[in-house]
Amino acid sequence: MNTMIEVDNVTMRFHMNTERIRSIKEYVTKALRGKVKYTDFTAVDCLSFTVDKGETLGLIGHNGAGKSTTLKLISGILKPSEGSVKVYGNVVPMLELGSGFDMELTGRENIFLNGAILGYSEEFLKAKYNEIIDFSELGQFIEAPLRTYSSGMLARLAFSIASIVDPEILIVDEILSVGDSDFQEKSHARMMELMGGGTTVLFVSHSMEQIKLLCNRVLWIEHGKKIMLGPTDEVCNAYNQGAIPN
Amino acid sequence: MLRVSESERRFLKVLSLFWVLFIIFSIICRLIAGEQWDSGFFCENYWYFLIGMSVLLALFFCLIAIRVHKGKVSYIYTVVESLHRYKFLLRQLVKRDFKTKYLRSVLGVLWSFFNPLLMMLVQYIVFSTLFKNTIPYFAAYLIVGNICFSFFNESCSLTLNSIVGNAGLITKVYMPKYIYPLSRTISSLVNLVISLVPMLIVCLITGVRFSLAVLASPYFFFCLFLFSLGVGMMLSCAMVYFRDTQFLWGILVTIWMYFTPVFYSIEIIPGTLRKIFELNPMYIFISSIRCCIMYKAMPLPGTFLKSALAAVLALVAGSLVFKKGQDKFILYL
Repeated sequence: MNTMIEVDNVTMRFHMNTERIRSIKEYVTKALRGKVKYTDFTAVDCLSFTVDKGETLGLIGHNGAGKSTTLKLISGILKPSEGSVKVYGNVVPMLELGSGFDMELTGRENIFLNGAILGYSEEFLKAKYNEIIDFSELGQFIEAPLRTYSSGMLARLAFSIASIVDPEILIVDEILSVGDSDFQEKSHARMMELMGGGTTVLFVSHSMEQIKLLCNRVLWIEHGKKIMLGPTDEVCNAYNQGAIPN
Repeated sequence: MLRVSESERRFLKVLSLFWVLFIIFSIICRLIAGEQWDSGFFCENYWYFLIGMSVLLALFFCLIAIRVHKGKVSYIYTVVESLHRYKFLLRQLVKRDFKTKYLRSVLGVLWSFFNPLLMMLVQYIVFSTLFKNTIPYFAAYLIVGNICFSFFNESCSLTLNSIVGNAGLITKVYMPKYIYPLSRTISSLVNLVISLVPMLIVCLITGVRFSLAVLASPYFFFCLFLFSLGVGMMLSCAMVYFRDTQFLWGILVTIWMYFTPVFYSIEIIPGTLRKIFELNPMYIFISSIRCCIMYKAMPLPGTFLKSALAAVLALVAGSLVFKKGQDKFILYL
């Protein structure tokens, strides 16, 4: 077994002004009066875990527990205040679909723009181009500017681009099912296929069913701290009972 | 046998290409300049300086290459490597900027032609009727100064917003953050290249005759590009922390324009003050470009050095500020 993700004693602390100071004048006047106060907010606290190749690790915890922050740390968007995150392989974060779409450009142009933003290579995109259009079922609308799309069409295009990947590490924040019921089914099947195909997956969900179905191991976080890490059933049962072991 | 990885080979290729280009360019400039560069300590010993500098440059590059091979971190290597890795993304972003800029306008890309022409026309009317001047080829003089300064102005105000404006992306997708300012500056460069066409037209119409010295002008345009990138990076970083930057910059750039001889000649500035005016990097770039294009003259070697120095200093300062600030951007967006 080789390790794909190594999170070692990671702490993420947000060093925030109590009031957000956005202008120089405000900063100077506040600083002169000694009023620049900082509060520390620890979103992730001394978290350590490793994920092996081919494993699906579920992340559970209540809202604001630090799950999304953890995902952002692993995908490189955030840098940890302390500790280290090591990732061996290319990470594809499916955090928010369609970020980087430009409404003025056509669907075709946006496939390349969004694909490039997600880190796909040009050859890969060209090879998969038809597959993306087929999956999105947009047909001739692919040549129309995005501002003319309905929200369902946007979501379908975004999902089709994001899910065409062949990643080594996939980060999923809630299973995304978008569009009408037909497309929802299709996209759901695609997600399952992606997550089942031997890739390493980090998976955040509030649905215990999905977690139980997909994950090998589960990490339970609360207030940024690791509560439990172990086999799926064990952790899920503890979570459902709300029992926090000491 | 020395084992060199794919990326190291690419890096070596880039370095040696740069080195060869440097030498070829220096030789060509010397040949074109001919008698123009015959006086002065630097000109007389040009070939010795050239040999000395290329040896120094070669040594410096070897040093970097060895360091990289030993696995040490080199900033230049990281930049070359990630530029190669993200060139597709960069191209897409520039394409996007370019396409969306004129997308729903009737004249489209023609605006890039008309803008400098109209600007020049207005200034020409004002400064040749209301305020008299004796600058030869005044129309060409104006348009060269204008496109250079508009490039600087446009690229800086675009880069200024590159981090704040892309907040939605930065908080969701990982990519090296300098891609944002870089792509904006390149977009402006595309615009500059297009506006070279009206510039050439005006030059031809007003009777400017070109000489081989024109070949040196890309060098100064490139320095101007690096300088704008450096300044833009600093501004984009400052903008994240203080949103005042945009207003402050608006005033600053106007002042800067009036202090740069865009529509007047540096001759009208009295002696002591002129020394200070000549330190202005924008003046160095604009006057050298005018010199190559309009006056059939090679700028002096010292001017080449000064331009490079200004560009590199701005770029180094910009990237240092940016590098220091970039990890904290996300907390302020």
